[in-house]
Amino acid sequence: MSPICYSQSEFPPFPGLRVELEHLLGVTDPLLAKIDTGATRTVVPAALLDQVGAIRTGRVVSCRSYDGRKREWPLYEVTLHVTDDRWPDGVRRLFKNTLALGVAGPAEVLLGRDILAAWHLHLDGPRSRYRVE
Amino acid sequence: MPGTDDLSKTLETYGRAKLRRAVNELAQQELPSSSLDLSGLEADIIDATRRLLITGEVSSDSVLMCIAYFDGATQADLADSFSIAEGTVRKRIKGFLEAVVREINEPGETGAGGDTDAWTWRDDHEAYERERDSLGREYPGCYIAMHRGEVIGVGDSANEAAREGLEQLDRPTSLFVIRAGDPLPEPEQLGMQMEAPRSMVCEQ
Repeated sequence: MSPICYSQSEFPPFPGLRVELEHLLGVTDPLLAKIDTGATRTVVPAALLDQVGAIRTGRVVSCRSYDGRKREWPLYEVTLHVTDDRWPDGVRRLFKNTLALGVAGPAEVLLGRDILAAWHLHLDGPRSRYRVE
Repeated sequence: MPGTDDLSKTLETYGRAKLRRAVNELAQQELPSSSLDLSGLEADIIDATRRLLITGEVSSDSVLMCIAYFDGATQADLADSFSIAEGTVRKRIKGFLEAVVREINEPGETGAGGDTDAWTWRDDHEAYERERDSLGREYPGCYIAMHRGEVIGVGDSANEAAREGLEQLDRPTSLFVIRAGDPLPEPEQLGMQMEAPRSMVCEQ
């Protein structure tokens, strides 16, 4: 089980991985997704969900920002596939018909605890790398 | 300049529901224990819009854009305002609304809200709720895919309905799909903080 280096595109570096989104209309190019233990659910830019023909389910989630305001976001059904070459064999890669928050405007793909619950993650901050099993 | 009939139609068929919803959403915020009259707030906003239309300063299209913008951005503005006295809040709302409309109408300026497409996922939900009973009777047990209030796909599964809808539409999008007649689920309350500072653009 080789360690996976954090992405250095920001400072401090962060644990990330390559994923693709897929649904009725096709698949995205590989995307760098952030591992985000603070996200209850996975978050995806709505433009990507449109691109792959994700299904807007009619379910809505209500979130709160740090200044106390509440805002609602729709939930989409989409398939998420880990395509990172560094991903070890035997660790779950495919999340079919998972529910993701679709957010308008420029946003990152955040892998929330709904996805992270499938993996054992060991973050090694001092060495900027992680292991997954 | 739109006539008053045009104005009334705009507000009655499109604007009121959105304004009411926005005001109701505000009512759900954790407000200080002031005695804000939210129904009066709504009336103030509508009056301000009406006045602007009657004086010919804006077109109906601009009002629609303004209302769409009100859906999103003014929430923050209004939420901030609730710690201020009620009269000030009302003045700010009116001033804000007028500023938005002016901004929209200034050539070469970026439209407030930046979004020229006034139809949102909320409109899909509203359109569905309005027709829910009749859709349930028309498509019993079936999934339907909706686009801008119209059923454009029907199937035995959500995927089937969405595929048919996407073929009809012939462009990539995410369609709203639901089993005809089912009520929309209540919003799920997440403990998640959104619009949080996720990454730092610059540090000084």
